[in-house]
Amino acid sequence: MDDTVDWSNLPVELWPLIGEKLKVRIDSLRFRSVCHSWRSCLPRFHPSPPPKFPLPLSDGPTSFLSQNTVYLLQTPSTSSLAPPSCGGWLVKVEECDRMILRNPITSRRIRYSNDSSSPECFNLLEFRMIELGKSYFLRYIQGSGSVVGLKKVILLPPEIVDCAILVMSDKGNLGFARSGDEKLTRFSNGGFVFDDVIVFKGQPYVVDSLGCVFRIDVSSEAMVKISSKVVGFGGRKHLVESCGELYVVDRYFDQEQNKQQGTGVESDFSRFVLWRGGRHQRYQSGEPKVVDFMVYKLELLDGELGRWVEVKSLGDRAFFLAVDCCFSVLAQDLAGYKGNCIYFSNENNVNLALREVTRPESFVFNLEDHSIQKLGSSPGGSQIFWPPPIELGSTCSYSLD
Amino acid sequence: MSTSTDNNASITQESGPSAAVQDIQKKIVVRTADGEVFNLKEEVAMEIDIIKTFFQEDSISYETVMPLPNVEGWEMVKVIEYCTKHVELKHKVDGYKERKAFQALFVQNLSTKSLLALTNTANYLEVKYLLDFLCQAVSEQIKNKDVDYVRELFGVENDFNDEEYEQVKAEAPWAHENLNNDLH
Repeated sequence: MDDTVDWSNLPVELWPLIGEKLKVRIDSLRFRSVCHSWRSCLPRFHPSPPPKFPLPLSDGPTSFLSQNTVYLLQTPSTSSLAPPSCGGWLVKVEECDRMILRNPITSRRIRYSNDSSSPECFNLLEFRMIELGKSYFLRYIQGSGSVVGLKKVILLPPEIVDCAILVMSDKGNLGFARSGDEKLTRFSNGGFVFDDVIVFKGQPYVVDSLGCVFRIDVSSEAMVKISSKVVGFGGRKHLVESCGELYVVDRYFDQEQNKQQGTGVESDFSRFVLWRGGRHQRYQSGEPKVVDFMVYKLELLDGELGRWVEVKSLGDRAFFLAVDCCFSVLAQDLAGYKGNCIYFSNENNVNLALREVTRPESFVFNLEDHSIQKLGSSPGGSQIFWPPPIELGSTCSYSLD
Repeated sequence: MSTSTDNNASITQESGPSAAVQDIQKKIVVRTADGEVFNLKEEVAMEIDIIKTFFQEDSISYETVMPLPNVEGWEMVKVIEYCTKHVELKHKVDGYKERKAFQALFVQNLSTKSLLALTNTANYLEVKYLLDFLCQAVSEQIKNKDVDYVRELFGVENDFNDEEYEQVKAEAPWAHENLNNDLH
């Protein structure tokens, strides 16, 4: 900033127009915290009603879209709370009718102990928040619990179609709906079972269980195959965008358990049985154990199908395979994280994670030695997600349970 | 970077015998606070409501040079740039990407001070869509930043006292949001 800016040079009636542009609750709160005049410019934040969508097997828009945003929190360089070279923290925030704090990987709610003597632990407004990614899921309008049976939901970019989603069911089927539609349009998948769907460079892409990637043309419901399959037979593929390139991460499960699990129908049933046991009971996740990962980068070729190139090292980046989204971060931006690692959760059923039926845990996979460690077991482990520096003198207790 | 070089030629031709040919590309002339004179195509000039009102509603001849005492030369250049693009994209069916790319470039090298000045100008000139876009651009500077940074950026003093600030903080999550169910 070379010249001094004086905000009051702008006529007072323009500041509400600017404040109105802040559509996210936290930005609106920030605006209202700047000074008296700004505070009076903008009324308290009222979220616009979330868009409503139909569900498979039902008529009418019976669910609404809930949005999670993963932020990188950084202490501003002027802060006295932590040295500027200190890395930041990851938070995941769900914004529906209120803000909910979640573990960025497992999506478990982070709760503070109900101790009336503990003050607010920290003020989010005092951090810089960099958005790393957004994830979506659907909640039932009646009851607002999260919708059962869906593996992933993505919001299509507005330039393709306004306010429309692609949903992927647990069984790997793909559906499309516009806000307010009566019925979900199912995309014929030609026998493929899909594992993941993301928006990459403004277009939706899916990957099937063999690692073939397709670009989806929503208007024509066509799927354009853009890659050959991955050489490798992991149990689940994830699509990750990193530095403008598309990667697939192949997750390998313990073979013994894999054989027992059988096909998708059986594992869905076993989950159903768990579910009926009562939502407040905690279970060990029925998911087979993860034993390995392979990472591939997509090389696009002119006129030919793209091919997958195995990636032996992620360098200084870390991949996060959260329950409902995947993203990549420069490890040095985060306190306590290492590059060339994949951070993941052992619970892959979004619905179970959100309803807190199971207690998922976070793990880190190191590409160098293919080792897997549970987070939280190592001394610095739990510090990774929480908390950011507490104001000196205040104490607060929290639990990640 | 002004377009005052081709000014004089246009003014003299307007009232000449070839006015009929010139009518296709009528020009409107404005003068900014720093004395720079600008030559606008009619269709672009009419995007600027204050100019439109001046010439059309009051039926003032196009030969008059309209004074804009609250506008600087560089601001006029930017406004013309935006309005010209807007008119161009009006006739295009699928201009979304192009518009986005243009908008990104438009604000790329503007300092906060310049951005605020331009917003003020857009408001004064009454170009609604430009004002809207610039407000959005200013709000982008507020997004994701901590409060102190925003204050510094816009030259705002924190005039809350401790008690008031506690109230302000109470509106913001965290601990509160997860303890109570009644938030509103």
